Amino acid sequence: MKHFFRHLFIPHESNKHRARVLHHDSLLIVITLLFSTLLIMQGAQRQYPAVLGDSTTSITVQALLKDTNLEREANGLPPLNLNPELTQAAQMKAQDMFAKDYWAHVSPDGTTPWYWIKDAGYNYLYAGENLARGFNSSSAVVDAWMNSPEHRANMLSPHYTDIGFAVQSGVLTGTQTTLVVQEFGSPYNPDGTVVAAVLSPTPIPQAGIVQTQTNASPSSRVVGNVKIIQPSALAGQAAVATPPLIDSEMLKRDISFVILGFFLLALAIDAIIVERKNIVRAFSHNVDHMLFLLFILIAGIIIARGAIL
Amino acid sequence: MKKNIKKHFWHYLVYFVIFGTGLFLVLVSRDNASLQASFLMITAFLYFIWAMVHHYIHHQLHLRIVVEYILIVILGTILTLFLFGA
Repeated sequence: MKHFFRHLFIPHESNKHRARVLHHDSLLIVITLLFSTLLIMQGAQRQYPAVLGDSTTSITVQALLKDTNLEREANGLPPLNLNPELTQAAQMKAQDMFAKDYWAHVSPDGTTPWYWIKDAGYNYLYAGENLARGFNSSSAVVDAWMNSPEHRANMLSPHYTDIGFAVQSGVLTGTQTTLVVQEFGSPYNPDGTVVAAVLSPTPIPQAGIVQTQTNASPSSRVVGNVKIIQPSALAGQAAVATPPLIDSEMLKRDISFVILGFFLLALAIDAIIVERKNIVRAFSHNVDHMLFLLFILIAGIIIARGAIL
Repeated sequence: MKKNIKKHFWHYLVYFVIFGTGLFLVLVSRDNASLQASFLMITAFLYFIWAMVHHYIHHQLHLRIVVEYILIVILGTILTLFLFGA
């Protein structure tokens, strides 16, 4: 066994002074195996979605609501009520985002979040929106929002009394993702002059959207954000879905990180031993390859992080 | 290694610019996975071109080297597909 591993990783006479895993035929075998794995996984996803599928189910409306209210309570604010109209608005917004393939508060044709809220029958005095995509748990979504000043402002706004969520999966801007839409609101009171006096127009923040109106007409401004997670939730209800046994997206990422780590380690060991033993090679590209794979690894870490808006 | 980088300073400067730009573009296009994947693929391709030019200038452009870079770039590309959950 020891000789086997030495043969695989340590430059030695047995492997012509180059780690066996770095030989061309070894690389070709790994590439073939990876490609086959990719095809098999794609087939398995279609045939057995309950076993190998999209794990968006780990994000639920119930957990999002609970975590959001925990954050509010921790900051001395009253909890928000899950509102059927706002939930419906969030679902319509999510569907619109998938249908028109955009990642923004305002659709390419200029439809604002307020349109969906009003269309769902919620006449608001204050309204806001947070978006998220690419997260794998409800707590990660809420944490990301809380770490962003604009989204945090929405989460902890004393003006809101109601909330609605949508967690939907689909292909957005070219990638399979789980989208989370969080809509905030407080009902419009025709006699709401006192509350309206508190409002003052503020600049539109980059992330998140907030809208206020002092009358029934929807003139407003933006301060919120959006996030995506998973298809879920009927109006007013927590999402109850059976998650697949294995999250395909996470599995693929894990495989990718393991293989990258493996080759980075193999290249590093090979380079160090060649240097220490003064093994003379006509050409050595270990450093070049290491930086290339490191680039893929860093990019993978960037990609793996969810996004909020 | 250090000697090699020092000796071919300008070559490696281009090399780092390619990867630095690639990472920057991946970072700024976080909201568009297709674009991110494209930037990764383009960077991988530029890495290959850089390697070919580098070895050509140093009269080391042998088939073995070309094959090695092709294999590494294909490996990186497949791993990129995995990262994007393709």
